[in-house]
Amino acid sequence: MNDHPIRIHVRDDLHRSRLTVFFRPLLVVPHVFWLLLWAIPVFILFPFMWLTALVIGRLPAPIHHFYCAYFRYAATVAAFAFLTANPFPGFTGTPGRYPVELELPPDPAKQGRLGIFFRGLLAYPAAALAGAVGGVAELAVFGGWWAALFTGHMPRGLRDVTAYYVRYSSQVNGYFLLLTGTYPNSSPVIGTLIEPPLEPAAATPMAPPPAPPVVPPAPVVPSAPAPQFPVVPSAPAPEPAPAPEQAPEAGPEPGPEPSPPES
Amino acid sequence: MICGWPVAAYLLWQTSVPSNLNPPRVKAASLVSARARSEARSFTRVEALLILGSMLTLLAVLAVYAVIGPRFTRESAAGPIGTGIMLAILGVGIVYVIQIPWGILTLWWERHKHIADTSYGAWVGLYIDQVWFKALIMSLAILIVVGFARLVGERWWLLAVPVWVGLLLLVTFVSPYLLSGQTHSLASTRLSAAAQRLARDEGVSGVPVRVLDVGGPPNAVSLGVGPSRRVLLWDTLVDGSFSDRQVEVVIAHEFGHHAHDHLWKLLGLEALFLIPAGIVVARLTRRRGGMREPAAVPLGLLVFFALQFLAVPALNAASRRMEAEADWSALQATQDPAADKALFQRLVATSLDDPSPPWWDYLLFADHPTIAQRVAMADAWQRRNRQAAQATSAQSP
Repeated sequence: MNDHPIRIHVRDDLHRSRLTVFFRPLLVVPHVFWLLLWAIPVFILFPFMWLTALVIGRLPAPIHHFYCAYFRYAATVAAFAFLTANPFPGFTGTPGRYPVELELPPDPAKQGRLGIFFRGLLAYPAAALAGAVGGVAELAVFGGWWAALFTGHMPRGLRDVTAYYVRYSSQVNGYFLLLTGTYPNSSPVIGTLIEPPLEPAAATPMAPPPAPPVVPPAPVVPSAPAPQFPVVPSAPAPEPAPAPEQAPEAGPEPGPEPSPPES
Repeated sequence: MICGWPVAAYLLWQTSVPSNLNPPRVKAASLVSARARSEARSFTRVEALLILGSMLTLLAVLAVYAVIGPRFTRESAAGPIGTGIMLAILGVGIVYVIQIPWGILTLWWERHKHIADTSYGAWVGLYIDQVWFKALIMSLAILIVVGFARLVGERWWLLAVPVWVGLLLLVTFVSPYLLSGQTHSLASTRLSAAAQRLARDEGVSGVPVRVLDVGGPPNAVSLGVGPSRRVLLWDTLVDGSFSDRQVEVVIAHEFGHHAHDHLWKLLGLEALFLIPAGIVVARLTRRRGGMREPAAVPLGLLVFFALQFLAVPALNAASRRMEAEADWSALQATQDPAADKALFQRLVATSLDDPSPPWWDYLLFADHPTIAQRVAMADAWQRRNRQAAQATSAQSP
């Protein structure tokens, strides 16, 4: 069961343009610059929002929506930078236009004040794990870069590793910044929803945008031969091979310190 | 606009160097030994050919990209401006990759002639930094151009040029502060005192002189406008290779740039170039939908850089005029034509400047007067002041 409110929808077809893959470190430059500018008000506001959340038990709704927009954009930039997705992302993080998108809680949720008070400390173990996963993701990007240059495709396993990192680090950052009181879920599967690829028209800037902002997840149908880490359900296969879905993992365990902001 | 452009060009062309100076013709052979001249000549020929090769390669690559670039719009999920940014950055990336061999060859040549001592690894690091910086600048440029094109149509340049020049002004103002942590004051108290005196004489009191530890051929630069004005000297200029009098000439020259508002004039020249360039780009990209359409960006890049290449002789001529004005200002302030001439003759050895380059080299690459021209100006100043001194003594009882 997908019980974390921050989830990632992956609607990528594994195709990668060799030219944009080669120049990926250059193409992310304007996005990183814009993300850093956007991060300034996010982090300046945070101490005040932390105090506010201590009083009212949640983030104020406008701030919650502002943070969600930031996270949505940051996730698309991370997906682009880590080769999780192919197209060059827009600069607004508008939902429904990118093959890899973050699903975020639509409204601010009530959270325990004790959890809010110790949020930095509690987020520390998750942040440490996110750092380790980030290292693995970087290796995946390195391998994926070479593979995509030669084959024009990102290997599925490597793509899924990077998708896991984008999702998990978003959950860690979202937890730290009070978007949710649900502890980040380190399972590589839960919260990572692999779905049919977006239609090409829906991913180009010239076509009209799709009506639903977030596509509901397709039924999870793992492919018959269990693939390597992580276990990722593929799009519905011609031969049905049902397998029991993974049960959700246990809840969070407390720990120290805040996570670094997502690049 | 049609009347304003030539008026602005005329005003920017004005200089305080007397029009009746009639500098003597100075032969390169009289300035330096035949061997030094031959060294300088061979260095600058090859350097010029490498730079020319690099520029022509850039245009050829952009021409190919203008044809195939639009097909990459399908690799973008961004809007028109974002897609335009993507196409522009791809163009920058392709150009920089193709130019790597030229850069390495140029570095090898400069190291071979002991002009540069940068390692290849350091060069690669600097090159990568440059590419990232260019990507950011290009993103901003496309944001402005495509953004205004989508707002106001084909006359986007009417808004884009002032905005761009405004940003350049901001960068010009801020850049000295960004470098301040990497500079230090002059070690020599004598030079510091001389710098203050020269600043006072040229009407730019309070403009500090700082030293930048960069190595390489000796150089100096004027930075900033208004309160951010600075003069930066390369450490290789003040390491004892040049006499104090020669360094004073350099300081006075850089003060001359500030005294005559050359940095403001450069911004004005930039605007003078960008306005017609914008009109031509807008016109030639019409068949791709104009600059409001991201598919026009690759063609727009080609047209812009081709225009920049064609404008080089005119821009160099304007630059030479400003440099000559700064030289004249230095002569007036230091009253030391001997040090002036000795400095430029020394530059032939340290920087392998050809004292009298061929016409094509002069046209395309000479943004400063030649060594021969600079020495001739010093001679003309000397003659003029001798005549003035003689006239004064003849009139006195």
